[in-house]
Amino acid sequence: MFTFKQENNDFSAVAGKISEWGRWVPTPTRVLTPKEIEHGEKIVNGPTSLKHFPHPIYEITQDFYGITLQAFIKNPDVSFKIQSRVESLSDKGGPRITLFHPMIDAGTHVTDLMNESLIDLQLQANTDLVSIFDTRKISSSELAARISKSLKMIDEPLEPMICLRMDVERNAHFYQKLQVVKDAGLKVINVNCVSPIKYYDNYLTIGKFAQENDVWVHMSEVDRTWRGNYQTSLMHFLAYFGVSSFAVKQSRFGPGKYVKKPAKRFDARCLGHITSEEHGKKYGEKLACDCFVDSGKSRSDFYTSYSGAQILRSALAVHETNCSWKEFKIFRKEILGSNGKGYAKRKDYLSPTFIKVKGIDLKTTSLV
Amino acid sequence: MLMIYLHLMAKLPPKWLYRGYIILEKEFGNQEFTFQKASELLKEDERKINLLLAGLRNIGWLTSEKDHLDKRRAIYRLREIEDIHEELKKDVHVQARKQ
Repeated sequence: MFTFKQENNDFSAVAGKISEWGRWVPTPTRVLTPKEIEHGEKIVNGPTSLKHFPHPIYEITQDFYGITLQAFIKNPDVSFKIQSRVESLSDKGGPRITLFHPMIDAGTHVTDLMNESLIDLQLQANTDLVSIFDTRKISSSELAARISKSLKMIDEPLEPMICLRMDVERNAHFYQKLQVVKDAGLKVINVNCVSPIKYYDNYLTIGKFAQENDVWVHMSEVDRTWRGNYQTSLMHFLAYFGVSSFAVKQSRFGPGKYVKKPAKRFDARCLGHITSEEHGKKYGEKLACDCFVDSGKSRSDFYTSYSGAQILRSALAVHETNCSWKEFKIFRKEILGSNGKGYAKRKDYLSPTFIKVKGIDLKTTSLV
Repeated sequence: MLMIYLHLMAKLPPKWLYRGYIILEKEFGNQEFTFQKASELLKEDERKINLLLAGLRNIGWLTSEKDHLDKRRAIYRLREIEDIHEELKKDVHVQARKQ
């Protein structure tokens, strides 16, 4: 149903359009997740609407451990519960373009039967994009067979989407799978976010593929920050690998051991997550964001009012969700104007990632 | 309207149908329109537009009749959005009572 058209690419970033019924979604963009809606509900004390989260795309995330997947296909009680949960999460997303991304452990082998059961689940849950699942153990020819079998289950206008694993050691294997996807005529690819240092080759491969073809590459399970400094907004950096949309990773485990650390707030001016103190030093009291949690507030107002009401974590998440979405629109304009590099230079927190991951020093624009 | 919509989503048909309906509704309201007009607005191929119009007709959100000037042509009209929401609201309440 969707068509993706690349409009320009610059400095390995891709700007495009996802079209449906004569309307289009500009990319790169940020995708909304159920957890972010939950945070929004805490802030507004009730249901949220498109007014609070204008994001046109929504990703349903569900944890699938190996044991859960086994139970999902064998135990009707388990499959009913998971089905109901996914359906209710889908409803929460409203009319947005909806896709489903199960977080499956790298070691879990997704069999053909599991793949088919997961497709059934998506068809029931009213998603617009229907995921077909790759698994580390299958070869590219097996993947081709799986895709062709799965396509028979997905009727127009629903859009098939391949869920490819990026955490495969051999780059050649990943490349072959991308060729299979291309040959099958799939227009949407969903990859899971993995370490850009460890799997750098795969990032280069997907980036090149995205630049050379009109494909919508969507990345799921993206950490909020880059692990190199726990400050750089990872998705804004990964947009320099041709990825068109991003959904943040949902924490898999409970809060765990409580470690007191200062709250960090996403700031679009530097594309980093910074503490209130650093914010004060860099930008004073100005928040420079007009999202509904920030509007009319200064830095101190923001921290005082939300931490006083014990909803600071939710306020930070909601702010990041909206502010980062808007920032992608600005980034898109820069790509269209072939100024991707200039944009990266202006953002303080992108420099360390460019040096460490891509080996590019933005100041001198030389290879490190 | 969107607030209401989010509450009612559980009872709504496929999301792609709803998005298609909203676009048509914004343009035509409950005025009559032809296949050609829809096609110009939605900028999709004939097959996809047929899919959307047939889907909307099946769930009762669209009616069609023959054009009295040219019998080969169909004239379409959307059901009013308030009507649809009212009906869905009732459905949700019935469902809630059953549960």
